[in-house]
Amino acid sequence: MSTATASPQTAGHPHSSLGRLSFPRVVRSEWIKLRTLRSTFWTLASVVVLLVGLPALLAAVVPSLSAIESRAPKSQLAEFTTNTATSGLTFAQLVVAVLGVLVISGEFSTGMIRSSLAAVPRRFPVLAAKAIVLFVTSFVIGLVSFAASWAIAVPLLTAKGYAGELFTSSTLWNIVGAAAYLGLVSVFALGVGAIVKSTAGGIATALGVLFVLPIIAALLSATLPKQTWIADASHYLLSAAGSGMAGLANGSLDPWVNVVTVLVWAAVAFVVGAVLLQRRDA
Amino acid sequence: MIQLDHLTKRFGAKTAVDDISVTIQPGKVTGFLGPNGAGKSTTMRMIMGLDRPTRGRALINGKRYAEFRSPLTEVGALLDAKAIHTGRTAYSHLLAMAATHGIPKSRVHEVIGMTGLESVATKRVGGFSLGMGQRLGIAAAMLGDPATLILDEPVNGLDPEGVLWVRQFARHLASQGRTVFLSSHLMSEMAQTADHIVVLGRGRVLADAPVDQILAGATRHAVRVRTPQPDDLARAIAGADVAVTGVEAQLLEVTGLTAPQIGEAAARNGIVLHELTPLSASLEEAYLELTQDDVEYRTEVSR
Repeated sequence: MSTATASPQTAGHPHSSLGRLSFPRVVRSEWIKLRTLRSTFWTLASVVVLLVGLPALLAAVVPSLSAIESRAPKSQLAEFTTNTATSGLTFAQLVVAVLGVLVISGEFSTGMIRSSLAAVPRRFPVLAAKAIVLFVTSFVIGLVSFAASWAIAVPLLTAKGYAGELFTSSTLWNIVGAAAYLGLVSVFALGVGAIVKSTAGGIATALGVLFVLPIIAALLSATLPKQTWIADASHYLLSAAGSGMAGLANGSLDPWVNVVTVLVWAAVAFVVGAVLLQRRDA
Repeated sequence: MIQLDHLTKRFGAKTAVDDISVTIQPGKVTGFLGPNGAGKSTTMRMIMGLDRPTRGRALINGKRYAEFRSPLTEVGALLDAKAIHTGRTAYSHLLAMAATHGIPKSRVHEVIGMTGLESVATKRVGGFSLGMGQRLGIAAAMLGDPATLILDEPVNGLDPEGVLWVRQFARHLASQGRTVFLSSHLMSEMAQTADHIVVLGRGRVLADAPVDQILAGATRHAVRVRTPQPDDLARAIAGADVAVTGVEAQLLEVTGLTAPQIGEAAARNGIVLHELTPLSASLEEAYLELTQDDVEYRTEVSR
């Protein structure tokens, strides 16, 4: 190679026209980081497949209603449509959570975090930029996928006797709500990853909160039916409030309470993660 | 210029860096030398604001690293070759780093060319050899064309050609008036690269001096003498400051006298000499002498 003899070329003086550190630039850097990893492509591709494929499959295979069955209350028939169109969410949220954890735990496990923090020594902008990039990416992917899943499920199901309309404000809010929930799950998982630092631990913790806590709550309230507070409290679990945001019936909270609940979960994880990132040695 | 002011780092009960006060001057290559575990990397991480000092502070041109508005154009650091995400290509890594400061793509291509990474720039870092990883780390350090360079074990894993390249590169950067601070656990490497050496052992500064001074300070003035009449010679040169050690039956090591003095004494007494060799300590020996009590992980055999 010619490098041994080539004299190092450097621009005349150290402070030439090169730019300065700024938050929009850190966001841009984080966007480059996200899109240049294969894991991002695979996780997002599986999110789309789950969100669109599962409803399409269910809507295609569900049998048509008989004449008597389709006389059921319209709200019940519409609920079935909502549940079908949003059926991918339960699984997609887990994949998005994995992506959120990986975005930061991958930096800890490879040592990349030291390069990132050397470039942005105030640290917090790195995590904030990651949160913005993750939220926007997950939200947009969710928005497109849910729009597609509703667009596929509604005509298929109404043809079979179910109820449902595509262009109503409630459908629109369900789509936006479900997409926003996915975005916030990714931020929650990012916070968990920043707290736990390891990929395995981060994924286990995030999936535990999303998947295991609701099961434990359901088991407890089934074995202790007199303790009604358990069932009441379980509505404030992250995935329960998220289901509410997506318009699924199993959340019984007021719509805005669902949004605030999910926001609080994401914010607490993010803030704790940010404080620890600031305090700990990298 | 880098100023370390009573810099101390404790990890639990263990003191990794113990009250270091050193100034690293611009326009020179300063070598940071010490056995593995001496605290070199921890010191460098504290300079870069990655580890928080327990006490004291590290200033670069009078400021803490985190205070710079444009850190990458002030300081470039190779912290260790593994500080890069293995799933990304070299080019994407450099692009993402450059983006934080709005450094143009043309500069990314420039540092790729400068470090000889053209052929592997689009390959993922996970498949890189240690040497290519080092080159990529140096490329990242050079992105902002910084006035200060901090390189932790830059020649680690490089082939001889790469070692030569780093040596020339470091010297060239210093000749432009930059501050170049590089660590190594190999004295021989430092002897050829550095102008000034800071020796660290178990977190403490053992020496902080120009290379030649470190060498001179630790030189043993011993002379090896081979003679069939060792006892006669020992008697002939005996004196208050003279120590004679028998190495083999006919081989002695003498300290306190120069080779000419011994030769003349032998001639006066009619003693036959088969060998008369002045022994000067190599830089490597000087280093071992400085650090012999301060090696953290020592094998019993080397004692």
